[in-house]
Amino acid sequence: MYFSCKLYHVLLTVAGSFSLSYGLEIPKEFQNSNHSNNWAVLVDTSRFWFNYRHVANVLSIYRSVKRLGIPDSQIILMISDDMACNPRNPRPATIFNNAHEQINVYGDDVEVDYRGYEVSVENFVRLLTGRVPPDTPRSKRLLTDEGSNILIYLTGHGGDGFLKFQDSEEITSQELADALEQMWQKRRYNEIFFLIDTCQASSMYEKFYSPNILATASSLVGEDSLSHHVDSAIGVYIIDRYTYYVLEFLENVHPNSKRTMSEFFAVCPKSACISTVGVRRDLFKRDPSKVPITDFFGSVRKVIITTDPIDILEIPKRKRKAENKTKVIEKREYLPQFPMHLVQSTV
Amino acid sequence: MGLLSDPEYGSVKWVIVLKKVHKPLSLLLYIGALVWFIMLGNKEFNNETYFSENALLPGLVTNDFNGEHSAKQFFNEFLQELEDKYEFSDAMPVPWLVAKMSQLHLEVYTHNFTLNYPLGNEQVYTGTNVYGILRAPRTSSLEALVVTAPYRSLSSHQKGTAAGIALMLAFAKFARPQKYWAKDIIFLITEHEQLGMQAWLEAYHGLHSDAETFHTSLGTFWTPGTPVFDLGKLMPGFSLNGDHKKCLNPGKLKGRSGSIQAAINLEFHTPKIKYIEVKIEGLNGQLPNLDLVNLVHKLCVKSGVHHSFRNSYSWIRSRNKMDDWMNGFWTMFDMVIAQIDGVPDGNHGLFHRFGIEAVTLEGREATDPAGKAPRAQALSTATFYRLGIALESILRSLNNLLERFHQSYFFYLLAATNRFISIGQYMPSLCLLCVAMLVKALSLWVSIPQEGDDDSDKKTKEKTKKLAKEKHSDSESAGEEKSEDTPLRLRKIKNNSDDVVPGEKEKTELKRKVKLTDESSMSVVNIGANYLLVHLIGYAVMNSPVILSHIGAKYNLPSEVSVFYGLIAISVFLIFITPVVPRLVRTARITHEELSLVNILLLIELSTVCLAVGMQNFPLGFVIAMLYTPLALITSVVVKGQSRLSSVLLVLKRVICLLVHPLVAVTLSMIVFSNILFPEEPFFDMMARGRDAAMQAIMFSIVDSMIYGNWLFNLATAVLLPIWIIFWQISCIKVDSPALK
Repeated sequence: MYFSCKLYHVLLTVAGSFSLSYGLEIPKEFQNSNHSNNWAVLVDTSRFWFNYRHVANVLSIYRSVKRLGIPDSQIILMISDDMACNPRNPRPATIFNNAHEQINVYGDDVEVDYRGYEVSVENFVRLLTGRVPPDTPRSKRLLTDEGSNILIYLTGHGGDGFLKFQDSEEITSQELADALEQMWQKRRYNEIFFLIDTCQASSMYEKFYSPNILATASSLVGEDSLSHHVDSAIGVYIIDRYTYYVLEFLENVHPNSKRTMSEFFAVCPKSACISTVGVRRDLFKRDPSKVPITDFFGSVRKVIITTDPIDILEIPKRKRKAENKTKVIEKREYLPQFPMHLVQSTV
Repeated sequence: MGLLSDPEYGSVKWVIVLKKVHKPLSLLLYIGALVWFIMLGNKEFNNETYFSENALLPGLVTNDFNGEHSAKQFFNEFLQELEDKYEFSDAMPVPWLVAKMSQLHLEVYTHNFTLNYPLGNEQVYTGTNVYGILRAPRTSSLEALVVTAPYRSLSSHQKGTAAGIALMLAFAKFARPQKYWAKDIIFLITEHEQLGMQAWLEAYHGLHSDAETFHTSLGTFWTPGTPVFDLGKLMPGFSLNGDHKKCLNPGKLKGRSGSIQAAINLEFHTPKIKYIEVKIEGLNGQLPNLDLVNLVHKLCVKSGVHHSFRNSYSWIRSRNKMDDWMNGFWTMFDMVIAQIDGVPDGNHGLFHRFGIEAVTLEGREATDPAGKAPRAQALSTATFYRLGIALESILRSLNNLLERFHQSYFFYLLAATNRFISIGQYMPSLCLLCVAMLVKALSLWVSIPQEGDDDSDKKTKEKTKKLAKEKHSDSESAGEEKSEDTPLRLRKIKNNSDDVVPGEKEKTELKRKVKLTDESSMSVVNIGANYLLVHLIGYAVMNSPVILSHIGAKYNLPSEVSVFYGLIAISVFLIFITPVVPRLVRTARITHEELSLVNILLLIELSTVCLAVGMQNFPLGFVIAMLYTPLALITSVVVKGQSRLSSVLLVLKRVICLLVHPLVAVTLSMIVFSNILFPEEPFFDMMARGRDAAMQAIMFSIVDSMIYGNWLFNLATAVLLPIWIIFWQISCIKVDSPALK
């Protein structure tokens, strides 16, 4: 860690001295994200067969981020109902996101981390803030650090200021904002891209107050987010409009592409979405038009090839401590079951 | 009373106003109620139907039904089978049905049931239902849908259901290999129309014959074995209830599925129908959830099948507002009329009380016995293919259900296939009728002279004053405490009477007066005894048909005749005896106040009954309120010594009262109804036909009440009859005017 920081410092000073000659604009190096890893939290909050499209939404995003390089170990996928095995599904064990049924998004390697009734507000907030029970497996933990860029994608049924989980509870926008603030204070992220596809979706990010969050939503307050089309062979609405156009965009993105976040915000104009896509960028320090989309959707590490020799300072050798060779075995005993010492002191 | 009311009660402004305006106000309310009801048919006053349940996803899925050929084959084979073997028999071709269903790889069972006819000679009927269960392939059998068709023999006077049965079998054949069923589908063919359905449902839900009738076993927490008050034990040989409790023995089912979510009843006699009539009215006016009704109508549209609901036909959409209104009104009115008797108009109606939503799809031709539909001749005929598509899409939509139907309305009226009137919109018309009665009750209440009240009291006080003045010369003590109440006064007077001779005459007069006031003060016990007695009479009449029919059976009379004439005899007897009843239970004559109080109680009871019934079965409550409100408004306590005009009016009132006697009302309406159906008949034939119809109607309502748990007869005898009797008492008993005392 120390080494890498030092390296970075050197690089930055070099870059800084370059930019001085160009005047007073923000140095290009600062425009770049300095994240070291990427995570994704993808949540479908609604169950029941008629909400098939939400599962298709979240699995489509899952498929895209995986294709762009985020490994399964860094994707937390929460799906509250098992559509593939729903007895009503005429195509058992598959989930499609298009009436052409070309891509089975519930393909061979889908790792669902939270399923069914595990998808709850409590688990979601615990996951974000890292306050999980100690016996939680690694696959159900968000093991991020201060260098992590996190993509949070939520879909389900929402209202003004809340998002419904399952059919029984909801998370409010304030709770979500507080959870993100807690993450910030715990140094659990570098930047967050918050993406939500529900009705009145923009109400969910209005309460955010933590830095470095870029948020976009499928609809403004007072608007419904609509579904895109029906797969009449399965007999359900198969995908939501916003996610459909997001996917259409993401399908043309590959790890090396230079697409930026501001292009991403324009994927679904009102004529296509019917709802207005909302964006919140005031918490985000960088200019979205210069942020590559792979900062959030992929796992592209910044690699700088340097030909200059690097002057590595000599690392002082550790002094050997004089160890006590003779080990005295500590005598251990049980404490008295009743705290007698308390009683004795009072007597 | 005095304590609870304001002492300046009589002079409060609203009381004075109420006393003045209550008659026109009540009339206005009555008219307002009727106007409101008529307005409900108008588009401005009802709403477009819509789906409340998200889970249905109606019509999203493509239809794959391909069983047209097999449906035709089943249809022909079935008819052939009937002609070959069952032409002269009413029995159901059970072996054929079992064989066909087994060939389709359904789980097939038969179900036997027995009816011990409760009246007359206690005949025994038996029947068999056949049902096959299609198990949902990828889930446990927790929920089920039912597709049913009644079996009708060739000799039946009703339209057959062969095409319905054939369609059902073809659909089963199509549905069996599909893998998307999340609920079991039960294909059920019932015998003996509603009886078979009732038996099957009771057996399916474990209501065995020892569990008493439905309304005693499900409606209360009564379980077999609980000690109950049994009159039979006290008086051996006399059974008040008869044996009708066990009249339908539903038997036991050999195979079950899960809880039934919805049911579709098919009544197609031929595939070449012009349109489908969607029938919804169930037992006691219960309706299926509006979502199911909407679903059926919408999917009929989508499958290209014409459909109708009463006077509203899907292929006729008028642009004229007035026509729309009239159509809406008549559709709604027809529905109201059909719901009054509480008899289901198809097998679907029996499902409702088990919490299962169900409708009947009845196929109709251009010239149907149920009535001609306008421009139906020009419609394209349906085919097995279209009907199958409609059935498939309905069932696939129901298959998507996650919970029972609960989102949409259970209480509504339909003004068209796509317009409805919710309970919030129609209840005001019933409430207005009840308010009219309550306004009358309130006005009676405020005009009752309060107990120990000014009128009579003032007089006594004046007397005492006078007396005291006279006495004043002789004794000083008497005049001072004149404002005390009666007993005290009496004591004073008694004290004085020893030494005062001139006041003797007045004193005795006063004593008499005091005695009279004491007796005439309201006795709640006396009124209550009469009230209770009258209601007990009603209860006895409710239980009388069994006894009447047993008596009739001894003289070889058909039970409907013995019951009908028995009820007439009882009614006539009651008409003569009940005005005397209040005198039997008390020593003194009934007073004006008492009778007014009875009248108030009666008005409150009647309006409560109307509202309570109207909550469950609006048409019934509304009609009762509509018939009885005028009676309630014109009936008032009759005072002795009236002018000629008012005695003529009194006779008129009594005649009106007699006309709305439940039995008379039923008979009259049947006569009017037969006159509408057969207008050319001479008068006496019409009367006879009406009498026969009334006989039948009463018999049906009694049997329905015993077998299916229909309320109508029980309500008419145990609730309406006592109310009517008290009206009759009020208009027949003459009392002293309160002013005369």
